[in-house]
Amino acid sequence: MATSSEAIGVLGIPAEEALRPRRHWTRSALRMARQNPLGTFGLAIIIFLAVVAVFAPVIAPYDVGEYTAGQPREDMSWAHPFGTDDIGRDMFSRVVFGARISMGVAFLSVLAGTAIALVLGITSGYVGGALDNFMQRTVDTVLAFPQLLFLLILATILGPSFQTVVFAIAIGIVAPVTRIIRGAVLSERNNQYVEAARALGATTPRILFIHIAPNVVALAIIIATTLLGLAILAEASLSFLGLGIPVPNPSWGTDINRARNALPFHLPWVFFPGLAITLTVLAFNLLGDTLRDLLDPRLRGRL
Amino acid sequence: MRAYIIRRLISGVVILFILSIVTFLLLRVVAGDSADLLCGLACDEEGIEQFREKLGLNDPYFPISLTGEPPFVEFSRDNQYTTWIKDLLTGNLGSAAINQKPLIDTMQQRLPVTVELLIITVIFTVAVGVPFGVISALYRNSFSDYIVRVTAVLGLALPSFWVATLVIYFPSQWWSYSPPFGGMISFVDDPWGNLRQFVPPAAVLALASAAGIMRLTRSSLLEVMRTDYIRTARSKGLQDRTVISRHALKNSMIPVITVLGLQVAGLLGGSVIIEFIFGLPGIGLLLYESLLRRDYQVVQSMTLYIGAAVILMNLLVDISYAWLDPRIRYS
Amino acid sequence: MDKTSYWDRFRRQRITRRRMLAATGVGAAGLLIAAACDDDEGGDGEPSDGTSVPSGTPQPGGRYKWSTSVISDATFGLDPHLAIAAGLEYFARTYNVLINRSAVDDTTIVYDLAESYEVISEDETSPQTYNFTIRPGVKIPPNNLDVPERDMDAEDAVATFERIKAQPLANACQFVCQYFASHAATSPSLYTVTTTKPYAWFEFNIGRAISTIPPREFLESAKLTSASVGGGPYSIADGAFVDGERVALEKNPVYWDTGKPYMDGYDVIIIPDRPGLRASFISEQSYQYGAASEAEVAELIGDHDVYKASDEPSYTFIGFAMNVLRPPWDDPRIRKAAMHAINRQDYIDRVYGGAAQANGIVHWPVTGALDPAELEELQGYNPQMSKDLIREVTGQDSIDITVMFPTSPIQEHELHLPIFIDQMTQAGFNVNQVPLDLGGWLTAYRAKDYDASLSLNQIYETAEIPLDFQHSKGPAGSEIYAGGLQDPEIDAAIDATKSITNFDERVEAVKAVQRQIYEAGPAFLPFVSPLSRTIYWNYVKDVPIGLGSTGLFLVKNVWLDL
Repeated sequence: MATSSEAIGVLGIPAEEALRPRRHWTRSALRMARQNPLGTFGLAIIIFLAVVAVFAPVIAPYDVGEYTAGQPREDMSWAHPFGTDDIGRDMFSRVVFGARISMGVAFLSVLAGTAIALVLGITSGYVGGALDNFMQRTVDTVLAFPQLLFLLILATILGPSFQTVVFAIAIGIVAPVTRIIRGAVLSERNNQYVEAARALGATTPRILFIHIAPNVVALAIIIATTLLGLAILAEASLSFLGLGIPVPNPSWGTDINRARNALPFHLPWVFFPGLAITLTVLAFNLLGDTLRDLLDPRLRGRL
Repeated sequence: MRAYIIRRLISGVVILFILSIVTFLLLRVVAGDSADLLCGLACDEEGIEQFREKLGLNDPYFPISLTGEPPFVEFSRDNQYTTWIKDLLTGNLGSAAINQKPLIDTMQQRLPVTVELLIITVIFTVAVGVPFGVISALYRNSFSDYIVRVTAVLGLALPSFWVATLVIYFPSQWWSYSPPFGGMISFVDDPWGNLRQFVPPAAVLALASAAGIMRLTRSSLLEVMRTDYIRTARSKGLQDRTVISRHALKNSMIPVITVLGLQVAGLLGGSVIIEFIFGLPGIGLLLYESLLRRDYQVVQSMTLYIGAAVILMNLLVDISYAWLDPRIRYS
Repeated sequence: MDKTSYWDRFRRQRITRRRMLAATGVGAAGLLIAAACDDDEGGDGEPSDGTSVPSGTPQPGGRYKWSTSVISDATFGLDPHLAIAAGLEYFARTYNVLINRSAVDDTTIVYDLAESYEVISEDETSPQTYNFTIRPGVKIPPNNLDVPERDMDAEDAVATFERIKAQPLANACQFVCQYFASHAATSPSLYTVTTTKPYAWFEFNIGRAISTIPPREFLESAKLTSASVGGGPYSIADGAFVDGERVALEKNPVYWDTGKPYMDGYDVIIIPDRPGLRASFISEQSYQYGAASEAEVAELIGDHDVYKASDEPSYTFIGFAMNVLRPPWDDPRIRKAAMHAINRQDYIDRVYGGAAQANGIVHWPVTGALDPAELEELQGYNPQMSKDLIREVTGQDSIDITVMFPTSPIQEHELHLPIFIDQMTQAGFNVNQVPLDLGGWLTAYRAKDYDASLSLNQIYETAEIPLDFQHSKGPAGSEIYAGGLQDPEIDAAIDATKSITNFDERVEAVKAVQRQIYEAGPAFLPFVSPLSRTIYWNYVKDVPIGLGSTGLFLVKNVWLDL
């Protein structure tokens, strides 16, 4: 389920993540940057895009809805570095503003989804027993439910909007991540050092927060980084299904879908929103890989 | 092991039962009345009412319903839920909303499309993902390793609907070529036509999954190579090639096969978009069409089938896991 | 590829049509036909009909390939009376209508199941009686659908219109239920309808693709939704229609118009996605393609041996509906402010690449549409006037409005919406956008549960429904989805136009009521109507042009010069 980049698969979690054990983090960021050019590259892109998103109104020469910015289907020029779309809007401005929406969707949905999954997963894994059983069967049911259907129902109830997309992607994240976190908690709980701590009379909150949480949170951070990329793809796929950010908002996913239907291809228009998506997902993936190596001592120094 | 499988199957049935009720209620209570959309723009209240009657939407939901007055419970033979489940279990596999066409007819046409698409996709995924993953692991930190890894990350980063559109657009632009459209061409009748139809979409669909398998193969092989028994085998003087092919590769495939199994369930979802773009009338397209039409009778039945497929696939993965790795025992 | 204007070719097609009638030895009867034969009798007589390429001698045979994105109605399949829009192309090919009269011209009539008809009316306000003489020898071909091989007769017409009457969901029910007082098969060769009152668009409505006449035995059949057989040029055999995949039409070997249709059959395939449709056209898996934009038309004509059918009006438009029962739209000044905020030229240039025309209340090119100069005067783009009107009402520079719209996958909406919002904003409206999925939008629209809304892209070929958008009963005649102006005087004026059977008088009345509506501040504003952008491979010959649905009944003339 995991690595397919479809609307449905997008919301799945890379199953490979589940198979890796977690360890303490000790390495300094600076050294990591020197030794992990790819990860640093990813981080640089993300920071760059974050800056673009925050300062979009300053950077963009035109308003996103300004259809009189140019003639329809203009090529790249100094006035319109990314050309114009089929009614004359400036694509550079739309891609710049699109960073806000796409990054916003990604961060909000992943933050919310992972946070909820963290709470549920730790509870389920640590408390165990009937509660665990109940929660895991619930997760089973949700995982067996076709995500496309789920998203469509959500869009029907809430109406297509920014909030709907965030909510839909976040919900899609919860079940699989809960499962992974629970697995991690279980393996930590059975570790000898936790048993030792319990034998020494440590309280449940103490064991949870001091011994288990740091490792599990590290795992959650790794997962979340990769999920950010997947969330951006999910947003694009949702637009494809007509459930994404509604027009005329400038999301990359919505624009790329408009571009692929407005035939014949107007190449700059086709290229730049796609490049933005690909680059961002690439950046998150590279950063996620690097973080995983950093937080996983068994692979330390091997990448 | 047998007890474990039986237990899993029973829990699978329970999950499907819950799924059926949740789907049933979600579609009715939350997603709105399908009579609304089916009836069309010019439909007034009377028309919608007629539709509801025809679709059986005026019947009670469940065999037992609560009422506001004594005896507070009402039993009804004609209720939507049992009607649906009966329809599901009587060989019709459910039916479409208003024309009551048995779903089994549609499934007979549509299922082979999706099955072939998935099989070719899995073949591509393994044929590309595993060898390159092994190369990448064996020549760790070499130039080819970097190339393979960056390609893999790129494969994960490209939106597949986007790649699929380009795969349709550019060949038609350059060579006036496009894959054959208009229903599945049977492999038996016309193998070449069939492959022209299925290879491009399968390649696009395999892009992301192959990238995932490649990355997993690499890390899994690296991990196995560090284990004590491989070190022992090496220190005994066995050739690297023997160690890798006899021992390391086999063990490193355990997580790969697991993930592959999970991927198939996800590919079912991914095939919706690919089938749409390549005009392949499979079950993904059927689900999408039915959703747009709000043919909830088809949607709810399809939900159960896909749910059952996912549950079965998970069970197979777990069983194969135990089979591959003798250390794992289910009790 | 020549740029003969639509109306030139329209006239030429009419002549050809009359030749066809002469060739089959059909005498014209009835008042309207007599009138029609008077003008252009000595026309140029050019044999070229339909297409812009010189046709040559038709070569019978071959199968026509055609890819399309929708094949059938979700709910009703191929049911000729219940299915919506998508199926219409098939019904006109497989069944008959009595006659078909063009929406744009009362004198253009295609005779099908009826070889002639006459209208009997005592005076201008009393009910009319239509006598249709059924053509002998309209045969039903051999089939696997258990329909006897016999000649179609008047009983089939009776069965069809009885069925439509009994089905409130039938597309033609509004017409049949409202205007049929009685109808009967006086003899197997004479079908008689008496109307409740004079109705201007009777001949148009009785000949639409939503009122086709299947054999009466077949109306009872369960196969009605998945196959079709009748007296039309083609039939769809049992099993030839696969929902969501393809449909195959086979030639009727005993079709009444001997020698036609030229094509042996049609192979229609479904491709849901637009790039796929385009690729199927370029790779010649389809002989025709509805281009996405003018840019695409130019590109394909430049690169391939293809041509665009003609600059044919498509009768479609997206409009802006205001609910006069809710503030601020109850104030005519605000409605007029919205009217002057719309710059139609921008839609024409940017959405349609210049290939469109501005609409008034009755949209171009429907008969009775006001001419461009007058429209400019009545509803012209004038944001300053909008602002002045808003200031007059609110005392402020701007006003908040809420507009809902469907986030349908229809590309046109996505193009209209940004322009609409930007223009409204420029004119002093702060638009609160409410995007809804198609189902949710439909529910709200139907229940009139909205302040203002963009409409769907719909086709109306006569002035009737566009005017009904301003009528209290709305375009469906049942008080759903648009409440019009809620003005009894305007309602009466609109109703009056429907009984005027004289063409010229009707056109004048339609124009007059539009002026009245402009005075009151219209509650529904159509934007622009585009030209059709269908292109064909060059070897496709004699494609009929639309003529407001009439073209559908002339596809039997199509042939391939391969």
